[in-house]
Amino acid sequence: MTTMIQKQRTSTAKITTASTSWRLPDTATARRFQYFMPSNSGNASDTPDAQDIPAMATAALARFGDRLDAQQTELLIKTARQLESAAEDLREWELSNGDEPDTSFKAIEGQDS
Amino acid sequence: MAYDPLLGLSIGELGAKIRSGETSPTALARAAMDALDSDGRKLNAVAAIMEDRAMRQAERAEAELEVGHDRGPLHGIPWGAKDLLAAVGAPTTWGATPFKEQVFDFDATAVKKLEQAGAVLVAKLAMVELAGGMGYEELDAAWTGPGLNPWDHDSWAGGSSSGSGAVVAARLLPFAIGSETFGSIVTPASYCGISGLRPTYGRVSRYGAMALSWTLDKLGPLARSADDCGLVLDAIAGPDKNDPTSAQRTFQYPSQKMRRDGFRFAIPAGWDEGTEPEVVDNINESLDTLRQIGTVEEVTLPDMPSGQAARIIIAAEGASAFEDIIEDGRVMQLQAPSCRVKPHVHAMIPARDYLRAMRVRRHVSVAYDRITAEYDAIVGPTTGNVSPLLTKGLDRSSRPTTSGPIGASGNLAGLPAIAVPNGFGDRGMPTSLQFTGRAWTESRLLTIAAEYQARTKHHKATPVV
Repeated sequence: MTTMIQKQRTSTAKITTASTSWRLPDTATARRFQYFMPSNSGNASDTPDAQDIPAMATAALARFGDRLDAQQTELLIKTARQLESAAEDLREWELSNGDEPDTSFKAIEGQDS
Repeated sequence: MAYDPLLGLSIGELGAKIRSGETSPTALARAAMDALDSDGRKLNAVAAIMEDRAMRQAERAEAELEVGHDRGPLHGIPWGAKDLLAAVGAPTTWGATPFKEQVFDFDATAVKKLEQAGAVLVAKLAMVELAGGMGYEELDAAWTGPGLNPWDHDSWAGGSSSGSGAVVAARLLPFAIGSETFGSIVTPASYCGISGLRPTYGRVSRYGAMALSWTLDKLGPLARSADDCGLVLDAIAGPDKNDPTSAQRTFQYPSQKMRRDGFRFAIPAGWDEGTEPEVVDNINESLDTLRQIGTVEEVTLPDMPSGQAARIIIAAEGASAFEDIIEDGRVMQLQAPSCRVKPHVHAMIPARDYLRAMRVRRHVSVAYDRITAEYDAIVGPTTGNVSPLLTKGLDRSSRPTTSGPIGASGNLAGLPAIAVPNGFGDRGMPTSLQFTGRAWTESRLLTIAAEYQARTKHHKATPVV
């Protein structure tokens, strides 16, 4: 799992948009990311953690970030990466258009024995 | 550990003593509550003792027997409910501080059915908060404190049915009801050295039970033996109009037409990878025993992303089930620091990821139905390790074998499994053998496990503290 977590994920939200500085969706969200922000206007590639914050974490921090301190924010992003990794593994499983979700799940019928 | 020796007897033995007049339902209920109040609390295993209700039920059971009204093998037997089952007479806290004052004015279907079977509910038993669905990493993730293992108070009882596992192992109660979404019955059964049955999804109504993951939650018994598990399942199984996922099937134990040998067992290739050496030794010894009643062959299980699918499904469904406390911030009152954080991101899992997990799940179900149809049971270690020390904590990334090699797939496919003790490992802690079968084959699994226990004495071992 650890190695999977460390993989770069293509669907990870990139929050860097400028060459010398970071631009975030809004100032409130920016405040939540402070822990992961470069302390100066250095190259974004110097801070790999900040480069690949998953979209799930971005959304969670935008909505709930006020509740979380730096350590909690770190755990939240780590959790998002693990979920993203799991989702990525699932995307590698080939599904066809007709593969329906088990939304009304029940165990496959068999004989009582 | 001091306890009433009567509480160490099996359900059948206790029933015989009740009917012979050697003891009574009220004496047993009193003894159980006294034991829970002392030793049970020391194990952090008790959420509430239900004295008024217990004595009322016990007196009724006694009066009924006096006039010849016998409700069956559970008549007058004391039991405990994992504290996620609604029951009149005590709070139902779900193990979590935000719900410590929560009270329901009705009984869960399983509680009601056990009452109809004459069993006497004496206590609500401690559990990992919200059944562990928030992704706990700490072993003290409950308002009752860490579940302590009767075999060693410095070790964990397992989760999330911690109290259910601990009190049965400590001989404070003959049986308890637990729940499993992903390992929460079989893990405490393994760590505490008792028998635990995870029924087929839909076998037991969840009405009145806390919902964590609607498509994965199951209720089942923890007891001293497979036979006792069968007696309890017989009482709680069956359709329920209040739970649309409950199957329209009846269940009877013991089954009259079950064969006793000639079984075909499979053990997954690579089952011993990442497994503690003593666990491997004990499984090999168990396989020798199983060869007395059948054949054992190695099977290669399909490489499917079952663990990943389960993780996404539980996180997404759990975040929906507990959306209220995530939104209003009560989630920050949870005991475990990790549980205060993770739900916030679980709530952001995209619908497409959840749906993909559910689509993959169908493939897993089909694949495992084909495999389990070929055998009477897939066997292996219930957990690849013995109970961890409390000081060690829970590192999910480093315990790939917990719940057994087919733990994730078995839960995803809704398959039944029974865990039975099969010896002792590192630090003298119990190890466990798990049988997983095709959907709806609980009778066969129970028979197999009972035959195994008829040839071994591991389930008779009692912790001495």
